[in-house]
Amino acid sequence: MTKWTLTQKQKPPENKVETCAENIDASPIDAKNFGDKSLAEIKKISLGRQTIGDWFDVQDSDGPDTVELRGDLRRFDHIGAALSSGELKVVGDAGNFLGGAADGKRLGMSGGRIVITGNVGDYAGHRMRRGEIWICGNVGRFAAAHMVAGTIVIAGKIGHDFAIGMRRGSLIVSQMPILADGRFSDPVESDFLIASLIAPPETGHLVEFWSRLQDQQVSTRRGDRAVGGQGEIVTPH
Amino acid sequence: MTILNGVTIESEFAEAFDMKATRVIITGHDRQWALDATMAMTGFGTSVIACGIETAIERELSPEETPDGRPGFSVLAFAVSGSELEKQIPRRVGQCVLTCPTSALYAGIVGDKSMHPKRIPLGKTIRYFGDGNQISKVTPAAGYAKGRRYWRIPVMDGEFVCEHDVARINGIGGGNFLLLGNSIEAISKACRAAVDAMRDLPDMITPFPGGAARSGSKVGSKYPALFASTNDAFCPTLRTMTPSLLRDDETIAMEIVIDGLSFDAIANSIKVGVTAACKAAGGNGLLRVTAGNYGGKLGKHHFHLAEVMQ
Repeated sequence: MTKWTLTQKQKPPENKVETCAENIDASPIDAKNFGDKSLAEIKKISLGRQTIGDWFDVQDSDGPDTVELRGDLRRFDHIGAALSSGELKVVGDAGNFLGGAADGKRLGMSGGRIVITGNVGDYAGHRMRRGEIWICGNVGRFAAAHMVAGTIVIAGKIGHDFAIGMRRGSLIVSQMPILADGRFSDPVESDFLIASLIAPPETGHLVEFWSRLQDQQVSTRRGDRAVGGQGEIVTPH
Repeated sequence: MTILNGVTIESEFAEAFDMKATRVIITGHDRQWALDATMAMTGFGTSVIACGIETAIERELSPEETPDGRPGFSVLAFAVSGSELEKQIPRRVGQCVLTCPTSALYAGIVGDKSMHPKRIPLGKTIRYFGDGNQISKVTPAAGYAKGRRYWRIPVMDGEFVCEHDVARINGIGGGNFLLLGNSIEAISKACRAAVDAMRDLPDMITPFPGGAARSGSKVGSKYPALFASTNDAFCPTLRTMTPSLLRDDETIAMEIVIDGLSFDAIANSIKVGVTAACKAAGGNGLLRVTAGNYGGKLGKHHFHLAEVMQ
């Protein structure tokens, strides 16, 4: 059992038209890829044109199998795309397709927990299959698009085109976002007992947000009806 | 033989058997609903002879002790085989817990397949009642490498939350002691004192009505179809007809039967129960305490009263 801490050494260049800089596919950063490797081998894992060692200092310590990324990762896409168990935490912001299907695959993360202390780019949870994503900050456009199942908790603000094509899963949000017309049901008030069985990460104000779900009723909207979806968007009433 | 508060404790032993066991936790919006679901679930669960399982409340849980922070009860269940337990538990969950307003059901033994490979289905089968509207939630938890799985099944008061499955573990059934005396009042008092004292002990139950059985049984019968029949050696009305184990001044016997998750849990509960019974009714109608066995040939767990009471 190992906890790996990856601290950013250099920031990627801004994504401007002049530089045509590509975003970095961070999906290989995963505890199950690290399990039997030495620190030197982990540093050699390829992230597209460069390696983990080019971008990060890597340290390991005793602890449950987790990976913690520290730095400004707005240009790092597909973080946790292949996660199936354990925890992956980003102390900072994360890029697009967080936990979302990478590398032409049909499905995104299939288990475990991703925790982001900052903000997240577009397409968070795209085609995710199972597991949990906890976001302390804001999310960009198309979050939870084509979500297959799983849980995404968002304590901050939410961009447009939320949950488009969502089939199943739970989106637990601090306030109900503007949704595309007709795709989701009217809100229904109810208790939300399952909240008491899920322990939130003790990060940011997630604990405080989560206690609101347990102490009061919630409003739930179901959809996306355009795809026959049975997903739910839940917010404290 | 020892004497406690004027009561003779025989140097006999209780003979108990290996069983398969599990524990579930039932909660409700308030204590009454939790109790209603639990009483239904554990009803008709006195003896494996015809009930399929022996099951009862292990103890009441405070909201701080339950997974969802509501009032609840922990229930132990024992069966002669794993397959019987796998049959009985989902049946009772479906008819007695799912049906009870506000109830929820959780595994009472923590750990996934890597810790306890044998599993009893809970929500794994009951989820289909949701007719496709059921929702699964898997969340990280200590002892579960892949997370702990719950099912949310839409029902008429909201959602029935039910854990996916629970571990099946080994248990011991048939621990016992007999209270012998000369009045119904005295032996009832002794019985109730014993069961009250044993009520909150962990890892054991007394599944019979009020914790006690008056129809102690022996192996076999004159009727070929029956494999158990009345324990005539302790029947007062047969004292002059059969080789009786009752003494002349003993006119009544009641048996407290104990199922437990470990030898120590049963041994400790016998000590607690016998002590309480002797204190309550010693010198006042409770004359003797003994234990039931089959000569040591049938069950491998022997609870010698003399050792247990030390």
